[in-house]
Amino acid sequence: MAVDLDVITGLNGADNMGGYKSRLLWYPESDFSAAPLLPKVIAANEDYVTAAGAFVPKVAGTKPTVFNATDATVKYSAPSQGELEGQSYAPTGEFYRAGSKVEYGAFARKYNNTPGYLVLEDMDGKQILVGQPGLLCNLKAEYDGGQKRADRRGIKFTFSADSLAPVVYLGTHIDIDALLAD
Amino acid sequence: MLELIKQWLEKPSGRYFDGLVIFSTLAGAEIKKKYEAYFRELTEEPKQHDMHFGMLINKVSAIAQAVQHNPKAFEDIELVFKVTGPDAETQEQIDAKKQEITDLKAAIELLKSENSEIISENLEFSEQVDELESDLETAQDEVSEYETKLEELETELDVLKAKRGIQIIALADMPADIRKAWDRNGEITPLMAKIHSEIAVEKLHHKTREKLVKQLCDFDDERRTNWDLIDDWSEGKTLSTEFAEQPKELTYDVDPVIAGAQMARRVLKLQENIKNSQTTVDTTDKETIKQNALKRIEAYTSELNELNEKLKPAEPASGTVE
Repeated sequence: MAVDLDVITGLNGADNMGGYKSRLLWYPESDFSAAPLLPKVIAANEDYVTAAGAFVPKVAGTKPTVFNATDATVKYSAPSQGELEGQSYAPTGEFYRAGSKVEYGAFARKYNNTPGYLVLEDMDGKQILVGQPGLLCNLKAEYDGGQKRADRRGIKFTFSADSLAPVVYLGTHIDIDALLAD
Repeated sequence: MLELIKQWLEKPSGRYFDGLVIFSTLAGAEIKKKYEAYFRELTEEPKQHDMHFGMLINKVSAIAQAVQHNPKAFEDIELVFKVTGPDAETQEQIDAKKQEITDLKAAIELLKSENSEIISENLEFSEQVDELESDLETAQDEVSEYETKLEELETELDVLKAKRGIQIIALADMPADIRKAWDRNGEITPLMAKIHSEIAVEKLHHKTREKLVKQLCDFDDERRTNWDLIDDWSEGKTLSTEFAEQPKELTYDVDPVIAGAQMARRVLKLQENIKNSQTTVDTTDKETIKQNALKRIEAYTSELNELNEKLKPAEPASGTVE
């Protein structure tokens, strides 16, 4: 597999805002028969980090959960893991939902032990996929009602997965606005 | 071709049937046999999370990878996307509507521009109206001030009228003829006093007394006539000097000595009158008063010239022996 990588250039005036947009998509693995995949055979440089394909629901009409996180609470990082010549990545992150609505708690319990796929959107609009078949994303939800009056109460979701790539971008963009409008 | 497939894969939403064209054109026979009928079940554009759409994306993704790996195998194949645009009639309607929108936008811009002009003009006029209103207020203040003064003057006038019919007469305002009558009465009065004293002498011859009495009566008549003239003028019965009765020409005494004295006094009086009238002309602002004064001056000058002519010393007769 001899692939010549492109010249890696600097930003050259491009924007580089950190953080993520506050909209996420959650696809429970049990509800979808197919998900975007990192290509098994690399044909172009972008194939290293671009998942091709789309989610296919098992039951017609099944849609992902659109999760509106509290602003500036979405975090994603992918530290390296493993020994030399056996390294991979352990993507991890969190997002927060302030408030104590019943739906938040229900979501937390329902997916507490359900692996799936998480889609984040960075500030450039590129969509990031966490989870691949066999290397699924798991959610952990923690509730904190606060103590002092000024404390914030809500549920913090942390997610983690194992991955071959530090970040996996979706090759086919998912129109979240259309999802909300459907 | 790969570019077209990638473009479709990046954003397939709303382009299901284009994806179907890619699938039908490029998929292998086995795959087509398995899936094509399923994909063609749809006749309308599906939503992005429809099962058909997801599977089609996956199949096209696989095709894209195959094309990337082996582009030569797909070299001669051309993708022809079905144009699913509007028909000719609908397109015509769309174009007409677009044109209408453009025209309306232009009209809106024009109206906006006119509106801003009108607003600016309106502001200018408002300022002018404000100024005029301010002027009007000032003028109204002046009018009310003058009205107050007028009321005061009318009140004063009524008070004065109530006092024995006194008339306020300015000598300067008298027309020339009335002034003449006024001045003549001033001259007559001492003459009448003189005649009175002469009549009182007991030894006077009755013929002389008769003559003096007649003279006194004539003077009295003249004085009464003059006073009537002055009264009529002061009461406004005589509208204009042009319509006023011309005063009688002054008559001087038959006695050359008395006549000479009368004339000399008259000359002095006329000179004084001319001087007074000239002062009026120089100082007054009212045109009518000025005109009247000028007329008087003319009359006085004419009379003065006549008198000066009469008062010239007679030239000595030729051949007179001293």
